[in-house]
Amino acid sequence: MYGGGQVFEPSSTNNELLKDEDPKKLAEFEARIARGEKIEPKDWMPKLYRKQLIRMIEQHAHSEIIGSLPEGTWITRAPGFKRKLALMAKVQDEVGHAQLLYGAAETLGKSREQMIEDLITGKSKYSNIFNYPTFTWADSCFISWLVDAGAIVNQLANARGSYGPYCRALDRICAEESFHLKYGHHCVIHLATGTPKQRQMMQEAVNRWWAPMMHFFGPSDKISTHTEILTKWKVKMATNDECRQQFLDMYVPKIWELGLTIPDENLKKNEETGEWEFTEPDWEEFKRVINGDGPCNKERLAVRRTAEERGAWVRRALAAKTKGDKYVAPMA
Amino acid sequence: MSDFLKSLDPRINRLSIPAEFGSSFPEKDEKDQFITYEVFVQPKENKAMQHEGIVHAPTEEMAFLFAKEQFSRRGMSCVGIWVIKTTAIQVSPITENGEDIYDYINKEIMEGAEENGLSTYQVFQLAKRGKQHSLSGSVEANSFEEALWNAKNTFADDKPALNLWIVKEEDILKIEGDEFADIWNTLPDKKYRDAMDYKATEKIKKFKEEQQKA
Ligand SMILES: [Fe+2]
Ligand SMILES: [Fe+2]
Ligand SMILES: [Fe+2]
Repeated sequence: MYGGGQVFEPSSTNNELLKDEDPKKLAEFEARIARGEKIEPKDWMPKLYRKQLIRMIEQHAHSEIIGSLPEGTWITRAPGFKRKLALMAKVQDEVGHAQLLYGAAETLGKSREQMIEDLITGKSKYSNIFNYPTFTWADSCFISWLVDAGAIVNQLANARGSYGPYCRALDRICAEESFHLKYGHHCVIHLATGTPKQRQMMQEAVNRWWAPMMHFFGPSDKISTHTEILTKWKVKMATNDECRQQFLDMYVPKIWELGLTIPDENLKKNEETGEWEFTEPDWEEFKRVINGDGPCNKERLAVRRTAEERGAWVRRALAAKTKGDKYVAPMA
Repeated sequence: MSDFLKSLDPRINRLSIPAEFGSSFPEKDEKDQFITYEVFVQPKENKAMQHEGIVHAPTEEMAFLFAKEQFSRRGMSCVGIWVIKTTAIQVSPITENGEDIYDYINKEIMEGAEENGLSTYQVFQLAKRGKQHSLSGSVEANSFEEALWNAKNTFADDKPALNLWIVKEEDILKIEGDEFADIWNTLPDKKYRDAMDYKATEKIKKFKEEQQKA
C-alpha cells in the first residue's frame, strides 16, 4: 500500500537534468512511450526519468514495509484464529510487496541496501498515513479496507505506466490487494453491524483516520509541483485530485451504507459536476507530519533501524558463504 | 522519564529500543547485502517455466526458500521453481518489438569463443516488451556463443523473440518433479489468502433491511 502525493523534484532541477540529453535518443524514447511500449532496464532512458522512477518506486517500497507495522501490531491481538491467519497473510503480502518494489527499483541502478539506508536516515519518504497509531482493532480494520482501497486506486493507475519492471511488480501486487480489500471490508462490516460497542469502536476509528485518509492522495494539483513531463513519460499516471475523487466516489457510499458517518459536514457529491466536495484538508499538518513531526514517525524509523542493526550479525555470518560473489543489479 | 521508546505495541516495548539515537546510520565496513537470484516459476504442468522476479540471498538453497514464500505462497498449484544467480545469466541485446533477435545471430559469433566442454544450456525468450522471459528449451553446446547459435537453429522458427537469456544447466537450482511435489500440496487449503473467502453481501443486505424497519 502507499499514497500518492509523492515528493517530486521542483521543475528547475528537472530542466537542469534534461538540458544535455541527446535529442535524437530522447525523441526515440518518447516515441516508444507514445506507442504504448514498455521501457526495459537495458534501454536508453533520460537521467531524469531514471531518477524520478527510482524515487517513486522506492517511496512505494518503503510505504509497504512501514505500512506493515501499524497493522502488524494487531496480529497477536486479532479477535480469533481466522482473523489472525488472515492478518498474518496480509502483512506478509505487504512485506512481499516491498521486496518486489525494491527489486524493480534496483533494476534502475540503486541497491536495496542504499534504499534502506536512505529510509532509516530519513532521506527518503514513505506514505504519511503510516505515521499515525492504531489504538484499537478497528483502526487496523480501517487500514485493511480503506487505506488499501486508496492504495489500489494509485496502483491500478501506475500499473499502466511505462517502466516494465514496475508494471510487472504492480500487476502482481494488485492481484493480492483484492484479498486485502475484501478481508478489510469483511472486518469493518462485522464491527459496523455488530453490538453498539463494536459500532462505536468502528465509528471512532473512522473519525480518527478520515483526515489522514484525505491527505493520503497528496496535496491538491492546484498547489503541488508541476509534473507535465512525468505525465508525458507515463511515470505519473493520474493526478492527486483524480485519485482522491475516484476513491471518494467508490467508497463513501460503501461507508455510509454501513450506517457509519464521516467527520466532514461539507462532504457531498455535487450532482451537477459529478465531483465530490469536502472541507479542504489541513495541508500544514500534512507537511509537518511528512517532515518528521507526526505521532509515530520516530517509532516507525526506530523499529526499522533496530531490525537493521540487530540483524547485521546474521547477514555477516551468512555473507561469509558468498565471499567472492559481487552484487550486481537484477535483470528485470 | 523512560530511556526506552514507549509504544502502543507491546512487542516493541519488549525490544527495549533506546528512546534517542543519533541520526547517522550505523557504520559498516562494507556493504552487507546479499547477492540477487533470478526466480523462475512453473505454475502448472502444461505451462512454461517463467521469470517472476528476484530474491536476495546468501546461498542458492536460501534463495529457493525465499522464492517459495515470495512467488508461490498462493494460487492453486505450483509444479516447480528454478533459482539462478543473476550473474550466471548471459543476456543478448534487446531488439525492437516486431524484430527477431535470431536475425542478428550468425555463425561468426562463435569465432574466438571460450570453449569449456560440451554442456547443456537452458534458453529463455522474451516475446514482447513488458512481458516476462519464459523457457523455450535446452541446447547442447561448448560455449555460450555456440549455445546462441544452436538456439537459433532450434527455436528461430517459433514466434519471434526480442531477447534471450542463456544459462548453463549446472548453474540452476531446480526444485521440481515428484521428489518435491509435496512442497506445494497444501496450497489449495490456504483459502484465507483468497478474496473469495470473504463474502459479505448477505450481511450488508440483512443489516440494511433491519435499519429500514427500525
Ligand atoms: Fe501492498
Ligand atoms: Fe496496503
Ligand atoms: Fe495491501
